[in-house]
Amino acid sequence: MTTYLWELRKLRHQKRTMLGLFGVIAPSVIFGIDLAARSGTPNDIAFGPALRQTGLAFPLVLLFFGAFWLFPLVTSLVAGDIVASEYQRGTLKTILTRSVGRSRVFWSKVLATLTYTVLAMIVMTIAAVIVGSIVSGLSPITDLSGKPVGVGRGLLLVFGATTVYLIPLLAIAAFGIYLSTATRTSAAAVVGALMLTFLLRLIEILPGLHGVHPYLITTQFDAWMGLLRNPIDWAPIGHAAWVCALWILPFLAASWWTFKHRDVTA
Amino acid sequence: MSASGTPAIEVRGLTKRFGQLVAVDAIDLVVNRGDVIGFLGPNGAGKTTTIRMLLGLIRADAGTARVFGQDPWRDPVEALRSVAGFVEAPTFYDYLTGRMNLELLAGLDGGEGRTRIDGVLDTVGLIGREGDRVRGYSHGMKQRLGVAATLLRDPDLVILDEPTTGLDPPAMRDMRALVRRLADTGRTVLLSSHQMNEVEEICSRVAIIRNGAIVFDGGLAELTERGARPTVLLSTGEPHRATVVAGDIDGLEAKSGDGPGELLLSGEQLALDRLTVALGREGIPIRAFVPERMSLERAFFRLLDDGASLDSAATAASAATPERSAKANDADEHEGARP
Ligand SMILES: Nc1ncnc2c1ncn2[C@@H]1O[C@H](COP(=O)(O)OP(=O)(O)OP(=O)(O)O)[C@@H](O)[C@H]1O
Ligand SMILES: [Mg+2]
Repeated sequence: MTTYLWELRKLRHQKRTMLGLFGVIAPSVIFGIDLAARSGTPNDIAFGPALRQTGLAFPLVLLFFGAFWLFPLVTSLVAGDIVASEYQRGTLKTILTRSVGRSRVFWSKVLATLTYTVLAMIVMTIAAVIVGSIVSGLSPITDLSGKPVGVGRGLLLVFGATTVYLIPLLAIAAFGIYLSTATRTSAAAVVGALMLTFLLRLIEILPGLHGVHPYLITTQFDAWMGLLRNPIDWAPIGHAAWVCALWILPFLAASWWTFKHRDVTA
Repeated sequence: MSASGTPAIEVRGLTKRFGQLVAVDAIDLVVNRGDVIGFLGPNGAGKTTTIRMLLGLIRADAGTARVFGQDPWRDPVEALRSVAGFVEAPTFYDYLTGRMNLELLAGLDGGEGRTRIDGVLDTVGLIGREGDRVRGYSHGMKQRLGVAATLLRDPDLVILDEPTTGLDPPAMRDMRALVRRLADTGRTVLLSSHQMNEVEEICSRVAIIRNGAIVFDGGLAELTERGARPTVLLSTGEPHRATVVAGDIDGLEAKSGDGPGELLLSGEQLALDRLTVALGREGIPIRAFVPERMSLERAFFRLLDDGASLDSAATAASAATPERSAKANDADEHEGARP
C-alpha cells in the first residue's frame, strides 16, 4: 500500500502527468471554441450533430476522436515511462535495497498506471460535460437507437461509456508497461505504444485482414457505443473485455517476469 | 532475524559473468559481525559487481552469497533487513526534494525511519537544503543524502561503495569520521574505496580484488608488514659517513631517502642495533631513527605489480622494502612514520 501511494506521489510530482491531464482537458476547450466560432456541427460522426443540443454529447464525441491517438498517447506517456524512468535514473537500486520486493514494486507501478489512466479519463469526461454544458446547455440526448435519454440517465451512460472505453485503453497501458520494462527507455516505450495503436488501426482499415479485426485492441474502442443503444447491447462490451484481457495478461506477465529477474546494473 | 552466530557476509565461489567477461571469479569472503573491512582493487576489478550481488541487485552465475545467513537474490527483503548502504553513486528521484526522498525510503522500510529523518539530515549536514529538489543538488550533496538514506535504517551492516569519491576535503573528513563512528558502535562495515589512507584510517581488515579474484584477505597490519624486513629511516647530519658505516655491517642494506640527510636502512633487528652503536662510536649524529612501515598504498601497488597471489606478494615485499619505483614514490606521501 505504501509503495503504491508513493508511486502516485511520484507521478504527481512529474511534469508528464500534468501534461497528460492537460491533454485530456484541452480538446473539450478546443471543441467548445470551435462550436462557438462557427455554425453547423461535425455530422460525420456519432453524436456530432448533438453537440449543439446538449453538453452530454461532448464526452462521447471526444471518446470517438481521442481513440485514434490522443488518449492512447496520454496513457502511454505514463505507462511507457513508469518502469523505464527508474532504470534510466538508476533509482531501482535505491528502492530495491529497502524493505520492498520486486514484485511489490512492479504491481504498485501497474496499479499507479491504472489509477492515472482512470483518473485521466474521468477528468476528460468531467471537463467535456462542463465545457459542453456551458456551450450547449445540459438537455436530454438522443441515443443511437433514436430514443431520447434524460439528463440523469444520460450522465450515467456517459460515465459508463468512459468506463467501457478504459478497457482497451488499459490494454494500451499494459503494452506501454511492457515496452517500458523491456526497453528500459522511456521515449522508446511511449512512442512504441503509440506505434502499436497506429499499426492496429492500419490493420483495421485493410479489408484483407478482416478476420483479425474483432481481436484488435483498437477495435474495442467502439464497444462503448453498445451502452448508447436501447436496449443496451452488452455483446460488444463483453467481447472487448475478454479480448483486452487476452492482450493485457501476457503483456503484464512478461513485464513482471522481466522486472523480477533482470539484473539491476544501472 | 538470523542467529547471532552467522557471519554478516558469507560468500563462497561467487561468480558473475557479463557475456564473455568474468567480472567476479569464484571469490570466497567471510565478514564476521563487527568486522570493518576495506574492499580494494583497481578499476574494473569487480568490487561493485560483488556488492551488487550482496545487495540482491544482480544474480550470481555460480556460488553463493549470504547476508546474515540469507540469500539476497532470493529474498532481498529478509536478507537486507538490517543492511544499508549504497552501490556506486547513490541515486534519488531528482524531481522530489531531499526530504521527500528520505520519507519515501522510510515509507518503503515500513515507516520506523520517519522519526529519524531530521536527525540524519543534521548528521550529514543537509539541514537547510532538504526542501530543495534533488535535481539541484551537487554531487557531494547527493553523496550526503546517500549516507542519510543509509543511516535512516540504523543498520547492523553498512556497505559503502566509494563513499568519499568526489567529496571536498572537509566533507571527506566528515564522511570518514562518520564511517569510523559506525564502526565504533559495533556495526559491520564493508567499505569499497580507492583512498588508501581512508581504508588505513578506518579498516582493520582488507580484501583486495583484482581481475575478479581475491588476491589478499587479511589484517591491515599483515598486509603492510608481512615478510618485510624491519626498515628504519635515519636522519643524520653526515649521510655519507653513515652510509660507509652501514656498509660495514653484515646484513644491512642502505639506500638514500627522499629528504637531505635521510637514509633508509633495512636489516634484521640485531644489525640495526649494531648500526646505532657504530654511529655513536664514530661520532655521527642521529637526528631521527624511526621504524618505517610500508603504507597500504605501497603494499597495494606491490601486490598488483608483482603478481596475483599472496605468496608472491609477500616475497616481493621482503626482497626489496625500501626500493623506490616510480609508483611507490607518491605512495610515500602517506607513510605515517616520519617524525
Ligand atoms: N552491466 C555490465 N555489463 C557488462 N560488463 C559489466 C557490467 N557491470 C560491470 N561490468 C564489467 O565487470 C567488471 C567489474 O566491474 P566493477 O564495476 O565491479 O568494477 P569495480 O571494481 O567496481 O571498478 P571501479 O573501481 O572502477 O568502480 C568490469 O570489467 C566491468 O566492465
Ligand atoms: Mg565500482
